[in-house]
Formats: sequence, C-alpha cells, structure tokens
Amino acid sequence: MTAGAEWPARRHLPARIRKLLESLARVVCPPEAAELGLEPGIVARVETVLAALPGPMRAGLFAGLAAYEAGALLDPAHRGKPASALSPAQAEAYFQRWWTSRLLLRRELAKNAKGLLCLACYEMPEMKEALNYTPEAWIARAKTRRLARYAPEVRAHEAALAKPDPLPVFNSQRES
Amino acid sequence: MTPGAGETKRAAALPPGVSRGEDAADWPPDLRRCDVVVIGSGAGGMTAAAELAEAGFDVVVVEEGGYRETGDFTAEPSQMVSSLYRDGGATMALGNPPILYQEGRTVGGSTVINGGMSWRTPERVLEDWHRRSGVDRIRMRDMEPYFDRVERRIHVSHQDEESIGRDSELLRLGAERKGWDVIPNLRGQLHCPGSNNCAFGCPTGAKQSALVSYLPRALHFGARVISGLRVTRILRDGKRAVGIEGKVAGPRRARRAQKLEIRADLVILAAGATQSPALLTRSGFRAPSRQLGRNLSLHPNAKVVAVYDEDVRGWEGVHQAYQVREFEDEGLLFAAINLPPGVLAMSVPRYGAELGELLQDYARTLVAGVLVEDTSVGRLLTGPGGWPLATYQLGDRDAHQIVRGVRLLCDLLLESGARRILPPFEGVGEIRDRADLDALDPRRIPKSAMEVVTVHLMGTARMGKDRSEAVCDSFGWVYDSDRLMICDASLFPSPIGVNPAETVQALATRNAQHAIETWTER
Ligand SMILES: Cc1cc2nc3c(=O)[nH]c(=O)nc-3n(C[C@H](O)[C@H](O)[C@H](O)COP(=O)(O)OP(=O)(O)OC[C@H]3O[C@@H](n4cnc5c(N)ncnc54)[C@H](O)[C@@H]3O)c2cc1C
Ligand code: SF4
Repeated sequence: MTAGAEWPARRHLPARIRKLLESLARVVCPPEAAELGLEPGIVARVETVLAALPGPMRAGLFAGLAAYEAGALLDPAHRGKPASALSPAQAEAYFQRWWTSRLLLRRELAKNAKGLLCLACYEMPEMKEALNYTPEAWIARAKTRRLARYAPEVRAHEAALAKPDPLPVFNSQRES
Repeated sequence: MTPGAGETKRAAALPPGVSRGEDAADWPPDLRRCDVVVIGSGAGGMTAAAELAEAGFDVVVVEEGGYRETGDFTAEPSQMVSSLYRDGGATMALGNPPILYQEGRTVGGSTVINGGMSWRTPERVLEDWHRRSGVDRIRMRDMEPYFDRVERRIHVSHQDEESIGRDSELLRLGAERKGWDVIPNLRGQLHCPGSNNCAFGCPTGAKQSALVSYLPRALHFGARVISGLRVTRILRDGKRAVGIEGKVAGPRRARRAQKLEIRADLVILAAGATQSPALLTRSGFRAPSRQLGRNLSLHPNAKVVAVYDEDVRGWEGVHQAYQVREFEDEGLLFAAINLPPGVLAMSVPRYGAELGELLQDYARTLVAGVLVEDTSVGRLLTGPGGWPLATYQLGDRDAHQIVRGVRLLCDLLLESGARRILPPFEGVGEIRDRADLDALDPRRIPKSAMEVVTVHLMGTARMGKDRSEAVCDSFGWVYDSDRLMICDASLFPSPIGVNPAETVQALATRNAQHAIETWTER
C-alpha cells in the first residue's frame, strides 16, 4: 500500500498580510473573538484556505489587501498610518468605506476578506462552543447508531458491489 | 486527529489499485498502456470506468485530486473545502451578478461533496433532447434500464424517518400549510443517519458517492486509479485520441513537476463541465459546430436565512429531506439546506457585532434554497495557460424567477413560524411578516444586488444528432475525432431542472455500453 497524498501544504502568509488580517479580524468578526484573543488562530485558519486557492486568485487577493493597507495612508485623518495600525474606531470606519464603496473591486475585497475571516472565526472551538454547535458529537452518535442498527445491510450492499452484473450488449451503429 | 489551521496531514493510505501520480510516474512502460484511459473520477468517469472494467477492459482512471476516504471527513469546512474542492471552492462565473460555483476535485469528484440527491431526468427533458437535439435512444423507455442500474448501485431510496431533522420538517410544514406539493427526497444513500455533513464528505459512509460505490466496484474488476495527476493534454494522432499527458498535481509539484503519459485505445473524458471543454481546446480538438464551451447552464441558486423561536439545530438531521415541487413546471425547486456557522457567517452580508447578533441564533436558524432551471446560457472560455474561465450573464427571466422563488420560499417559511428572514438581495431588509414580502419585487431588485451561487454546471459539450449544432453525437463520441468519448455533465443539451448526478451516471452507463458494443468496429 502506498501512503496517501498530503492535505494542501501550508503556505505561510507574509508577515505584513498576517498583521493586516489580524487587525481586520478585530473589525469584521464579532467582538467576542477579540475578547477571547482568537485573532492569531483565525488568521492561521485563513492561511489554510488561501493555500488552496489558485495562484492568480491568491495574488489578486494579496494585491487587494496591499491596496487596502496602503489606502489608509491617503486619509489625512489617519496621520500617515496604514490600515493595520489604525485605532479601533478608525479601522471600523475605514472598513465600512470599502464595504459600501461604489467601486466594485473595493466592495469585493471587503466582502472576500470578511468572508474568509468570519468562516475561520466560527470554526474556532471557542466560538462553536458559544453557539452550542456540536457537530462532532452528533456525527459520532449518528455513525454508531447506523452501524448498530443496520450493519448487516451495510455489509450486504458492500458485498453486492463486487458481484458481477455486466451490462447487456447489443449491436449498434455509430452515428458519426 | 483534526489538523489545525495550516497543518498538513497525511490522508488515508491508498487501497490496492489506487496510486499517487508521483508513484505512477515511475511505472514501467507496459503499465502506462491500457485499453481505456478515463479522465476524471467523478459521477461520469467512475461510472464509465466500472462498467468498462467489468466488461473486461484494462481501464486506468486519472484524477487530479487526492484520495480521501470516509475517515478523513470532518465538520471542519475550511479544511475540507481546501482539500476536496477545486480552487478552494471559490471560483466565479463572471457576469452580472458574478456567480460563485463549486466543483469537487478529489477521487470520486463532486459526488464526494454533493448532497446525494438522486433524481431521474424528467421525462419532458428527455423528450426535448430527443425531439430538439435529435438524441438517439434517450427517451424514458430507453433510459429506464440505466436509471435502474445506477439506482441499484448507489442505493437510491428515501430517508429513514429517524434521520429527518427539524429544518426539513419545518419546510414540509410550511409547504403543507400552503397546500403545496412537497415530496420526500430520493437520495443515493444507505441508512443515512442524518449527520448533515454531505458537502464536506460523508463521515459515516452512508452517502453512496462514487468513492464508496463505483470506485470499489471498478477496483474489484481490475481498474487502476491514479490520483493527484492533472491531465494537461489529450494525446492525438491526427484526429484519433491515443492517450493522455499528465502532470503530478498537488503540493509536491514545486519539487517534482513530473510528467506522465498513458497510452490507450480509447480516451474517455469526464473532467466535468468546466474542465472538459478546456482540456479539449488545449489539446487542439475543435468542434465543427463551434459549440465547444458554449451553452453553459448552471441552475442558479439563491439562499434565505430564517430564524425561528424554537430550536432547529439544522446540523442534526439529513441534508434536504424534502423538496417542494409545487412550482416544478415553472422551473423552481425549494429545499432546506444546513450551512455550518462559518459558512453562514461567510455568506451573509453582515459583519462585526451585527453578525454576532445574527449568529447567536444559529441553533434556531434554518437555511433554505431556491433552485432555478435557467434559460440563460453562459460560456466556458479557455483562458491563458489553458485554464477555464466561465462567463454567465443572468437573463431577465431567470433573474425574475430568482426573486419570485425567494418570495414564495419566504412565504412558506413565514407559514411555518419563521420570525425573521434574510433574503439574498443586497439592500433588501429583513422579512418579518407578509407585508414585507412586497419588498421582493423583481422589478425593484437589480441583478447586481443578487447573491447567486451554483453547484450544477452543465452543457458545455452538448450531444446531438446534428454535427453542426452539437459537440458530441448521441453517445458522447466527439465529432470530428476518433476514439474520444465524453461521459460527464457537459453532455447535457439543456438544463434539467433537478439534481443532475443521476443523469450524468445514467448517460455514462449508456455511453460505456455503446463503447463496448462498438469496440470491434474501431
Ligand atoms: C457541493 C455540491 C453539491 C451537489 N449536490 C448535488 C446533489 O445533491 N445531487 C445531484 O444530483 N447533484 C449534485 N451536485 C452536482 C453533481 O455532483 C455533479 O453534477 C456531478 O458530479 C457532475 O459529474 P461529472 O462527472 O460531470 O463531474 P465531477 O463529478 O465533478 O467529476 C469530475 C472530476 O474530474 C476531475 N478532473 C477535472 N479536470 C481534470 C484533469 N485535467 N485531469 C484529471 N482529472 C480532472 C475533477 O477533479 C473531478 O474529480 C452537487 C455538486 C456540488 C459541488
Ligand atoms: S446526511 Fe447522511 S449522507 Fe449526508 S453526510 Fe450525513 S450521513 Fe452522510
């Protein structure tokens, strides 16, 4: 037997992207996430998802995030700070401007960054627990119940998969 | 162990008969020759492979994705999506609105992540394919033996009562109160206990995806499967397909970008409706009809999020136990689908404290979807490097149908006790009672405000009698080529209005039979 393939390999995020994503997590995730200090864990999960994206999509997202980071410098009220260094109120207002921007690309970037971070956020065990969301326990019970009740039928079906049942063959003409 | 974010995990050991691309690259030449090479191990590919292997052919299936098995599947969407979905599940069909579409990329293809719904092609659709496209041996009486055969293999049946959760019951209740036709879903499953993890791989093995049905059968009859090998090109000798060239896919690509050739007497293309046309184009096949890549249909899908006063616990009970068929003739289907909190949080247009407030009610939330049988058609272009690029412009009629479907669905959910409903349209507020339904007016909701997704891509290499209109003949043989057959969802001459996997499998069975019958003529 050969060993199976690896799950998608880890591809580390550049430090500046990681820092920006952590600051964005504080804006887009529900406040409990920051209270529990989950931002690094959230970004680590985002890293896994990004590893599966095709190169051009990943590059596009990074370019968008870089524009987001640098775009904050242009606002005099930010006193030369990039997005990742803004105060919570400034960060919230800056994100809101992208979220509701007239420019499709800005809106899409805000939507995608929010989507990735919130997906990861609600996969953190602490957040799942707070929602009383316990799929693993349910799956384990469901699995056990199935085998306890139906094991003979399951085995019979598996055995039937190996029984010959060839397709009947007739003569036919190719059209083309 | 569930791997944490960013960790890598060795997936399951491979069963005999399945090899990794990088190992197959070291095979001696005699192993790199076979009677039939099948590209793609999903609904179409694995079905055709099993039938041909049973008929005594030496079959090699080549699959770009890795091999994962029942024990690998967990309720961790980001991990599962990263390893089981193409492009991390984030591919877009460009247009207004852009439409997110998803496809599997793993041994077993999209059947590993699909909902298991298994329906025969409606008779009206088969009649239409026969009459309008001239497809031969496609009427219900011709197709019945193939449907029967597929249904036997994947155990198409109704759910056991105990597996049905509250979300599905609420959908049924709403439909019954409205007096609408609601039917129990047929699914390819064997005593599915309702773990509601279908989209991330079935962790109980109950869903009869190709991974646990046609794959073991194909292996039993001697087929070989190579995982983690992306076919880059179909090899040709003039118009005749003579094999494939593949590249080892996956994380090791950077270290060992190996190439591998497999020579075969027959090439079966079953890479799915987006990849098959791109692969044909990059291999230099041109359809005389110029229809290759055209006619993309995708059953646009829109979801609503409803919150109840009672516990719903949507994750406890089977995915889509019922379908509302009242509006089937108009091309609309409704079903309850559970989304894990992360996926829900990702897709609703809220963030921060507002999102937290919505998700607090997660256990009382029901997500339901509208599926539209589309009349618009898109196109699959082959972009730089031979990658597919889907474009799809939602037509006015379909946009209207999406809004109408959402409105009907909201009405149903209010009837079953929903307290607040979020429609999938930017700028449209929550629906809390019937008076709010007026906001769901097709004339007032622009397409750009619609959140539309799909998991049903079809029709990009359609079959038909007339070579000036179709890409393949009635049995999937590609016009103007030799020994090249298609066995996947790209064959459909039109959308079918119901879940497509069983149609793909029945067509693949029928095409495989045709290949066997005509083998000596080739
Ligand atoms: C999330 C989800 C839910 C769904 N739910 C349902 C449902 O409940 N019921 C239903 O009927 N249908 C459902 N569908 C749709 C259904 O699964 C598909 O229509 C069907 O599987 C299509 O079959 P196929 O053979 O065309 O392609 P697939 O099953 O997608 O298989 C294609 C395979 O080819 C491989 N491939 C592609 N390119 C290459 C290459 N170059 N080299 C090697 N391999 C390649 C892919 O990796 C993939 O494994 C769902 C789909 C998804 C994604
Ligand atoms: S609902 Fe049934 S088929 Fe779907 S994952 Fe759970 S056990 Fe498998």
